[in-house]
Amino acid sequence: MEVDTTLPSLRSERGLSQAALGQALGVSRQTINSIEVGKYDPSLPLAIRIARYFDRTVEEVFILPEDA
Amino acid sequence: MQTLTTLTWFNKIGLAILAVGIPYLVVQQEWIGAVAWTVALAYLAISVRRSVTARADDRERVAAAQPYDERDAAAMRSAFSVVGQVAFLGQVAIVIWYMGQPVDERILIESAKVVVLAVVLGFANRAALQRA
Repeated sequence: MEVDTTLPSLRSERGLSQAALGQALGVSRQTINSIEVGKYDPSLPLAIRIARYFDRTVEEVFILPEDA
Repeated sequence: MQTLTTLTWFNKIGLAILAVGIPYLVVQQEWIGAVAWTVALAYLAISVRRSVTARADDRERVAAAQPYDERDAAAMRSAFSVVGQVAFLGQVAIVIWYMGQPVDERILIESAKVVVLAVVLGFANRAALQRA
């Protein structure tokens, strides 16, 4: 199931590049890009790591389309 | 240059087989084979070396079987799954083709390959479900 994400805005608020965020989370720039454009749904552990990195809940970063 | 990943077991085995096989082929005076394996070793070594650097993109990493993160690993699993499906269906097609021929040991060999692939598929399914 494809989920919407607030990751691009969270990342730009912090002035981070995709590569820098990927490096901080231990994933590639391509993975961050794929998550942002909705081509790749991250695993639950990665989703939690992303949410924690931005001090948000998982639901604040990843949104089901029907909840939007 | 920054290295992102260590060698995967897949590439360790591949490089080891090629490295051991080349002197063996030279001793056997199989010169064409030795050259072919040397080229294969060089290609594998270069592609793996490139794939573990920060400069490599996802296609290079997956092609070299050097996944960096979960997305690379998922892409690799998906690609291997396609290879398995093609091998299985291709083998079944070969057996079906042999069914129209006079019976000899070839149909037994080809049928045995289908059985082996089916057994591997069964174990792979079981392992995947236990992990899930």
